[in-house]
Amino acid sequence: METITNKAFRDETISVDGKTFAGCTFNEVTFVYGGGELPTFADCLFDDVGLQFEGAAASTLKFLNGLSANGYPAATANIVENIRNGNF
Amino acid sequence: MATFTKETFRNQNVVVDGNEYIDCNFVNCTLVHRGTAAPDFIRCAFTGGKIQLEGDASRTTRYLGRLYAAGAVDSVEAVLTRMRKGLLPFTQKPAPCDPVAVGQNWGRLGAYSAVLIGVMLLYLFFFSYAGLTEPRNALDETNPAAPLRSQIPLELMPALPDSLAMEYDALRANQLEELTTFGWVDQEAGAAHIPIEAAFELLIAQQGDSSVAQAQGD
Repeated sequence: METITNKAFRDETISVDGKTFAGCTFNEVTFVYGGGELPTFADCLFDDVGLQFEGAAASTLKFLNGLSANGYPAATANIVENIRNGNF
Repeated sequence: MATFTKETFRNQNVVVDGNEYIDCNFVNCTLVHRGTAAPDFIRCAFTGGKIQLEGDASRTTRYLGRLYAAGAVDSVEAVLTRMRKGLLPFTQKPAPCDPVAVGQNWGRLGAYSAVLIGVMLLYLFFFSYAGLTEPRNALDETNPAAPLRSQIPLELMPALPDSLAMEYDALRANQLEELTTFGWVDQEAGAAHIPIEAAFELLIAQQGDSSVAQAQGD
């Protein structure tokens, strides 16, 4: 697992799978997550961060997106609330 | 990947990874997704039920939860909002190349090689068989006196007697007779032939007489 400490990221694309970011700042960057090992963010600042998904992560969001597009948004409501509340 | 058309799923767990559902009804079902491949839902209806994420799929929501808790609220909310409206764009890795194109399908490579070797052996057998049965320079065994079947014109071949062996034997016999017997070659010119052994003895005797005469002279 790679640990990155006190680094300022600006205007770049970052693959975050399995990485630990401590004391970093992210400005106008894009995070790419492929569904692998979870990244960790400690004492980081985020400004205009875009999220991009690949592999299993993209498959999961496509699944949830597809349910909503088929008139089943209620099914994702519980998942959205868990994400907001950190219930995992 | 399986395709389900106009089916009704009721009160059951449905693992949806990679499947395609067309005009299906899901009643009080738990849709299980493990993140291996996204399913497709086309004109489906859902009543009750819930979603269950497992394996890699569950990590994705935990990732969003961690980002949300770390402070990237706006970024996560943008994804959740679009997801709930079915408007998320996706970035997928390109599908892997056909294993044959990158030389990794050893089974198929072996099969192709076997076919190629087989064709080569077939050609080899064909030409060998043709060479045995229809040689261009073979003798016509049905007619021993016939010339070769080669395409060399007969007029270019040297004119040899048909009884070459007999001619050779006669020549040889004449030469032996001249070397082993006494006789005239040209009686008027006084030329005769004698056996070669007698010629050697006569020559030695003549040389002996001349040596004695020379010694007496000295």
